[in-house]
Amino acid sequence: MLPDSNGYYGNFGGRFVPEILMGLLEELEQNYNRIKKEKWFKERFKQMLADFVGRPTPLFEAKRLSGKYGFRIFLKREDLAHTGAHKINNTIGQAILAEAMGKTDIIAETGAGQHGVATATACAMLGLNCKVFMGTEDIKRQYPNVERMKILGAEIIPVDSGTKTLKDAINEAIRYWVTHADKTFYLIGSAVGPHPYPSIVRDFQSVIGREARGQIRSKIGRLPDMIIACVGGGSNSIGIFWPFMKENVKFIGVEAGGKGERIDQNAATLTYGKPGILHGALSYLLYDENGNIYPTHSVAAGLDYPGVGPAHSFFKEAGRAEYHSISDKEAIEAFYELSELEGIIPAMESAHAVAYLKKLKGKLSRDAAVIVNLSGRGDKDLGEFEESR
Amino acid sequence: MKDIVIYFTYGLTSEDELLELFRRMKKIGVSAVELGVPFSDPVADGPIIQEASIRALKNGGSLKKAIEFAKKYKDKLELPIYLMGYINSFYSYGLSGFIEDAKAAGIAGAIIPDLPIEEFAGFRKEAEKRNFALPVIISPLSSEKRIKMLAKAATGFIYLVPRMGTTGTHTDDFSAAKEMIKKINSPLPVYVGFGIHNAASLRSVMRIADGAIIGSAFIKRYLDSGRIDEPINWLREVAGN
Repeated sequence: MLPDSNGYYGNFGGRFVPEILMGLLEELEQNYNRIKKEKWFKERFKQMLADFVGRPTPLFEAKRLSGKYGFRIFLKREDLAHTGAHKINNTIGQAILAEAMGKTDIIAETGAGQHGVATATACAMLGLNCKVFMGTEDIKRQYPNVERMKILGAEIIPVDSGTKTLKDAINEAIRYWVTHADKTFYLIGSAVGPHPYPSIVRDFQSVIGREARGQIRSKIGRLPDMIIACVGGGSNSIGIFWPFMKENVKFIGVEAGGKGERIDQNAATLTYGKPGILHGALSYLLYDENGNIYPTHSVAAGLDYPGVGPAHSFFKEAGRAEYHSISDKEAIEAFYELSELEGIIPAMESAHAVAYLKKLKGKLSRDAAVIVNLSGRGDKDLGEFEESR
Repeated sequence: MKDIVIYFTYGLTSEDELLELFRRMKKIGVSAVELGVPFSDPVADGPIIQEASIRALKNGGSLKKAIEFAKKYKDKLELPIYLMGYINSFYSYGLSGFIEDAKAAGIAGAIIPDLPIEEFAGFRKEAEKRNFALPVIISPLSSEKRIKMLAKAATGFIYLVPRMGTTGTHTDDFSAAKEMIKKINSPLPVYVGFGIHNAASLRSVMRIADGAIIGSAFIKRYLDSGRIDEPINWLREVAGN
């Protein structure tokens, strides 16, 4: 079973946190294992996903893109979920869990702002207090999301330390958590962090893959040959991969290649990193010979993170998934290509997954079916984009 | 006679200054030093030790150099050294190589706040076999069951944190710590750390525990002045020597 009872996916995962959080994580694990099986919880989560998030999200056959690349391309439209990205699946699940555990003070970190918006949204709907930690660099480049969070009643805590991006937002959220540990629920946005977070996020995001399974079957009468998803921390990718785990379906995770191979110019953890420990888990990580974490770069704030969820490290070592990287430039090209050919403006993060299609040209047969997880929409990126154009 | 343990980040000063710091601490009656290993992402630390870590990294401070320092001046230091740092520094060094090199350098042990006793059992076993101390941290949220487990697993000493939070936030109320100490059943000394910032808080701790660990309040005086005289003078004053 994955993970094992100690929270390990093969050699990866675990719970590397200060003692003050150990009891809380045990409590969370016990509560989650109990509550997730309860009928009221399953029904409430399902209903919220349907009535509030707008699920199921469609699976769209991108015919012009398919024509260009020579195989069948289907887009899982997480960009159509409420708030514009897959992040809401997880925040609804965790917010209901927090409420059931009697926790009313929610904290979250955010990079691109999508998880922050999704957390603020879930908290507004359930009447919970919400604080979002966000790097000042990300506040600048994803400003529309900052405004949305404020409108939704969340308090934004700007983080000016270190790289001023997602990694440092998490550091500061953890510092707040250890200081207010008894009252606070940390609503982690990606499939990272100490056990049981990677599994909780995976479970709540697996709705993506479960839906896609049924949808592709009814469209082509069989499972797809390949699934492509972008990987930052790895929540949208694990969400779509997981329900196909035991099937003969190839998984491609696409990381942020940034400006190039040089250290600090990318955020391609599984491509250039090695096993290490950050933010509570043992997983692939980008760090130097003394164990210090490298600064990262990506045009997509949501991928700009030096770590990755433990399930992906396991998939890499077990050969269950392949991980490749796509440069900023390639992602920007794909952003325009999808907009122009299909009328869908993707999030910069998701554009990395779309960009990988180009690498497959001429390598797949005409009737091969590929699902790309379109994890979010691109409205948030327009400001940033004008600058980089 | 109760113990005073001082936390100081390796790499913050030159090695000569650090040697001098050890000499003067010994003179005031400090009983051990927690030599901080600077790390890029110190999530358990407040602003003061974060700043110390950033400066030390800029100066090239690392676990490797801290061990080399201890080895080079093994016979001159006169105070036992416990390294204190985050697990990725030790993990990237190589855990078994670390114990071997640290032992050879005469280092007494290591305190790793983000390595709970449940993880890397092999590392704990090897440390115990080689008589290398791995003190545990007990927090105000540790259950009685966990306190029992932690006290049993500890070697060297027990590090009791009297409140929630990162390093460096002042604490004046140690009543909760007093209650926690009663629950700890161990022959090892119990030291209280986090939040000791003046003579009164040090006295309060000395009344209830076997010793006190002082970090941020000491380092702050170095960061502000850039001289080792300031933290030493402050310590002499609060320790009443």
